[in-house]
Amino acid sequence: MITYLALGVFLAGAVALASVFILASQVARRGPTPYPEVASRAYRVRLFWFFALGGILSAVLLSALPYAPYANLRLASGPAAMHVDVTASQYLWSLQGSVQSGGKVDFAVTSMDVNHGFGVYDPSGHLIGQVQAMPGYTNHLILQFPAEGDYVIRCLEYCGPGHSSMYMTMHVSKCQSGCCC
Amino acid sequence: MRLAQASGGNLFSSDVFYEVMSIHGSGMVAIGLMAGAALLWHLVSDEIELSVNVNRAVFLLTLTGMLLILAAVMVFGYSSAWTFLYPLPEHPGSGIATANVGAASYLTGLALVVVGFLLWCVDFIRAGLKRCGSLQRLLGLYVFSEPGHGHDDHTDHTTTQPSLIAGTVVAILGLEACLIGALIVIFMLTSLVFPSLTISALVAKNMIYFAGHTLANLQIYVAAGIAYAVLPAYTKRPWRLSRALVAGWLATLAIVMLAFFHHLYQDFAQPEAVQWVGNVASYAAAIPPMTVTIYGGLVQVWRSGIRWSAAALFTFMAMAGWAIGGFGAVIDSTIALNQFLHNTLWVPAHFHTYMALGVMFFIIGAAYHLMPSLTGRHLSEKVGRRAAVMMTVGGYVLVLAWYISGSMSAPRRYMYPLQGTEIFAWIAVAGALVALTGAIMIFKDLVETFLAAPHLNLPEPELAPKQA
Repeated sequence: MITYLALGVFLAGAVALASVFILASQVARRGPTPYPEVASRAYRVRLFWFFALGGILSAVLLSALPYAPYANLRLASGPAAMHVDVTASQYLWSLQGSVQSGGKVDFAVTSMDVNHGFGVYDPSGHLIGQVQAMPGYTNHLILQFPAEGDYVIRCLEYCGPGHSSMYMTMHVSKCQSGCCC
Repeated sequence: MRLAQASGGNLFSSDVFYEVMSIHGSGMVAIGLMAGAALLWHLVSDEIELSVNVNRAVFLLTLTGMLLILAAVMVFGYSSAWTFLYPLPEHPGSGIATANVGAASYLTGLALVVVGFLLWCVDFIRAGLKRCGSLQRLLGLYVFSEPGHGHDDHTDHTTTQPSLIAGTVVAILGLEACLIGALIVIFMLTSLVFPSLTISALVAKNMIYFAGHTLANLQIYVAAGIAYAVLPAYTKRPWRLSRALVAGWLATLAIVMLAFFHHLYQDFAQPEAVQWVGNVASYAAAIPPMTVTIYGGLVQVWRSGIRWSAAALFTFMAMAGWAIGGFGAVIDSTIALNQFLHNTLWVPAHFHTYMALGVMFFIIGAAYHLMPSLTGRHLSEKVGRRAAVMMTVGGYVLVLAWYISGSMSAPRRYMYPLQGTEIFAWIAVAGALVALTGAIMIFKDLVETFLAAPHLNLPEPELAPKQA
């Protein structure tokens, strides 16, 4: 799960940042040292820190580019094998079309009333993709289902007091020959 | 809310749960921003002559707006969240008969708060221009051309200060956000009366998030202005103007206006190029704070011999909250990750880290700093330090539980925890209770100190500019 990697990176970064602050608070007791002396050294380090931070962020941005969820990227390797029309309304999902494991599925998502969020959870409860369901627009979410099973559609955009109860089960059946990949 | 959520949604009805959520979001954004603006006003009142009358009007508008928002929620059952995504207020889906009246009351209240902050922004820029003569000087652009820019020249009253630069950037961005915010709020109010009048949901969402994201973000920037004034009082070191500081704030001015697009990553109807602009801007927005203000705060403290009074402690820890929460925000603003984190508990986790453990700490630190000059009495240092520990420990336990739940795909704004995240929901409750206890200790001390104050050194229209 990529989100656990994100959590690990966050925790490592948070601990590193907290350590810097704790260190600074402890070193503060060793003063007072004349400020110009501290500042001139610190601002030389800052230049390095500026370029390091800029470099890290640029590298992450570039390396993450191919993993964006947008349709043109996901359809670059071939068209969708299945198509499902999804219509959201307070507090129901309506899906037209069937889904089988393996091939790309094009979910065409819209809303009858307010903004909703079409979130797809795998059988183990992990979010595998989402897109907003908006009145007046049709958003295309391209997903692939590695295995058959019962997936859960949850609303991921606050849509009124019934928001938490807006979910349904979507069965993904086993790939039949010729329908996928 | 945490208790209601952890208990599986059995404590309140869904209407009440989302009414509480709506008032929490709206109230904290409005109070955080206005409290920060008021503190910055007081802290820079030696430098620029802000109008007491305008600020009284700002206070009255904010107060009236908040009362209307309270009435909208508590009397008329408004529950469409502080984000009021169009057309939700028109179709609240709550079954409450007065919900439309609630929406009108909420939007009117919001409009008053927005107009109030807009007035503050106009007055700040006016007062700054009166001192410095031009916007370029007020923003400190002269540091790139004039020698000796790093030294404060107290004989030249046309020079600017770090707090003034922060306030000016906040005021410029605030003007833009308030104008766009006022436009969409007025449109939605009109649309309530004339439902045939419609607007594209995507355009409305862009306008709402431009205003909402920017105003929420300005809390941290106004707080930075506060830090520039408060921290040096304890480190006994000046926070000087520098080319890096001016460049950082100019970059912030340009970048923050574009970062809000990250709220719309999952709106695939938005042009894709705009999504990437959002990603780049969100990353870039992290650089000025991490290399100028937060870094500068660490340098201020380093080997300074500072005595960790409550004011210094809260201000310093606020910078840590800003840095850690900002890191969580950068992760969420990565498009490839946002598809799995958007609208999960990761989102409230990161913004509570830099709001509750950042902005609120800056405000509390400034309150400890200003109480002696405002009331002639000090807040209790003992209470302050104990509360700081409780709020820090409780606060980080709370947000950590959310980060973990978010990484496990638990949605935000749900009445119940998803299977597997129940334990973290209860841990969040425990953390919130500890943090709340610390906050109540400070609030009690604050009220008692105000009530026992021999005098209240509040500004009068004629005397306001030069009061310490």
